[in-house]
Amino acid sequence: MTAKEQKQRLKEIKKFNAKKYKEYNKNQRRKRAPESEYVTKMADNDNIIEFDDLKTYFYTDIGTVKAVDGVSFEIKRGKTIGVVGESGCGKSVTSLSVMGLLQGPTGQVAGGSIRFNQVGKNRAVDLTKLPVKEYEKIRGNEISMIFQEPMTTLNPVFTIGDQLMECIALHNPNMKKKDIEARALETLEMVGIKRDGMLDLYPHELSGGMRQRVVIAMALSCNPQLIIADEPTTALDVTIQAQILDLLRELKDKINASIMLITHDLGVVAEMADYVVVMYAGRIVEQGTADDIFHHPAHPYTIGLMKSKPMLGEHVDRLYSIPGNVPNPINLPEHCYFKNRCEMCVDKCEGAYPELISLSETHKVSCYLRENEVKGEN
Amino acid sequence: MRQYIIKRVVVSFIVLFLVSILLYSIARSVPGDYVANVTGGNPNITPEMQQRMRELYGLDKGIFEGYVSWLKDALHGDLGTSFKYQKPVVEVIKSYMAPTFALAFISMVLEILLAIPLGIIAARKQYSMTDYTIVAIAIMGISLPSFFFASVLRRWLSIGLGILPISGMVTARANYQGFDLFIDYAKHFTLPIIVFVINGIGGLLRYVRTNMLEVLSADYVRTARAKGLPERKVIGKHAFRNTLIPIVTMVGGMIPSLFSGAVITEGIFSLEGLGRVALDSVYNGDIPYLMGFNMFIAVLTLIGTLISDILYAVVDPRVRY
Repeated sequence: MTAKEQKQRLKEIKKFNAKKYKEYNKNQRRKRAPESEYVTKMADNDNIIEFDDLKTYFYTDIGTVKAVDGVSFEIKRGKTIGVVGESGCGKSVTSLSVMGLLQGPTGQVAGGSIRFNQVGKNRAVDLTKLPVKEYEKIRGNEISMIFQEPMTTLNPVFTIGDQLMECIALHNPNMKKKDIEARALETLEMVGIKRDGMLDLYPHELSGGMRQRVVIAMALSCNPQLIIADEPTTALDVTIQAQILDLLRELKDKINASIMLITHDLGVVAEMADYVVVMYAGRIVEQGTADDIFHHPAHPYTIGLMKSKPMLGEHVDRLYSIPGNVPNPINLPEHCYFKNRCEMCVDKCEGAYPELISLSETHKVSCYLRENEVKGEN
Repeated sequence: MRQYIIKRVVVSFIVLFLVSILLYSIARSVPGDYVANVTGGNPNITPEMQQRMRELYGLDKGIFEGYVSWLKDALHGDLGTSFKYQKPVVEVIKSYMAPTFALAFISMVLEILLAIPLGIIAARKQYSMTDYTIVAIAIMGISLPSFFFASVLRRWLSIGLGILPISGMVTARANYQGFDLFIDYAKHFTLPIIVFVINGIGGLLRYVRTNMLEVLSADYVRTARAKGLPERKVIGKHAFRNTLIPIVTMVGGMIPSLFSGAVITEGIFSLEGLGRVALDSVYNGDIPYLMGFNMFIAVLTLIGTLISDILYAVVDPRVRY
């Protein structure tokens, strides 16, 4: 490409982005909208959340990054789903899309829908169409999020109590100050760090594990239906990791919530998740129950992931690693995104991106290799 | 905390001592002393008379001797007598302080009140037209020379529209009393304050904007949003308290400038303030005044940094002394 052409292309991108930004800003300014715009129906009332062909794009200066491109899955009530994949495969972006916390106007939900089942209100809403004011009522209340870095997720200049009670007071406007404090202490007790004067401590006076417990307490304080945990244990050391995971599992059952657990740690998933979604370059390559994924992995990428996991009692000189890197998210190829790193390619892989095919009722994979298996079974 | 302050005060005295040596040496090393300046060009003055005058003013001693005698007096609270005004230095400073302080204080308050909200708005709408406009005005304010900007304003508001006086502090021979006098002062100070604010706002505004941008991308701001807080509270409470930390240090550093005055602005508008007097004293070689004034600024600078350090601990719980 000559320099002139390149300049022309960048100009076009800028123009296109400006249009997208304008639309976005226009939508953001609407604080309220009529209910008919965002109330929908769940496909299955047993689900707490349904992702339907979700597309989240980032309109950057060098082109559109399709961080999440057509992702569909659902989370059942009271179940834990693990979302796995390498860095940059769109796990976190999926979760931020649910929370409506994408860095706008660059990052936007470009298509599809996220249907959320408001069990208490007996209705379902499409989060992608929700106006700001309605979103604020759901965030932290019905859907809450636990972030990756406990060291930086708490505001350094406010006390733990301030930050905990703020959340409770916000979603329970009728609660008295005394009750709010009692509730804050109760959540701290739930996460096992209730101590005298705890509410008056600043985040820097706590260790990483304790801070993560505070973050979890904050997330649980309003009894959410869905907890999104974005790599909740990555920044913690191994002993604390196990404690935090146990805690999450225990609390989930206590308040009967669903968990969307985002991680790249297969061990964590194996321990926690009922269902697993494997993502690669913004798409789902395989999904199924924990048993399907761990004992019958079907996609070459999942198989690679399993192989690169260290096993106890097994001696290897070198841990397996999948060759190559995640493809450039701008200008993704037409064919399967994993093709260049795949060791099991067939001729058909040169063709269009493979559709998701069902191997069993729960197990789905998008790979040409498995087409024959399905046909054989039929 | 108390121990920290005591330590800081002790260190401050050492710094003051060193600063005074430096200031005195520089002031005395300037070519052409006070005597040469006042008697220059007068044919009736003989070198002997000059010599006698130097002895009288204490300018015959060397830098070291002169400094020692200045320091002795200063330690007894006597900053000497200004050569030019023939009054104690402290009195001279006192009598010229009011206009400078008024000008700088009002401007500083206005700067803070304007720079912080504008900086926050610019950061919130980064890369938008609003952002570009605010930043452009800020940069224009920094880059416009005050004498040029002052001239433009005077051409427009004083000569063109005739609504504001062109210079000075009061209308001569008007003899206003009470409230009328206050209004008269206010009118005379409007233009200098505008020039001062526009010139000074840029730095603080850009500082606020950069800090806000940094804080807005912080994880705890995302956490605040994830709690469901409305944007107004996310910015006004969680983000603002954190941007305040660096701003406090900057505002503490602005305290000495309250008294040092804007030499140029005061000069343009012929305001009888400390800045102008200080400039005169440099021209004349009025050593006692120069020393007194500079030491006063040095003390204020040290107090300013101490205050900002203490405030730093107040706004940021992680800082403990």
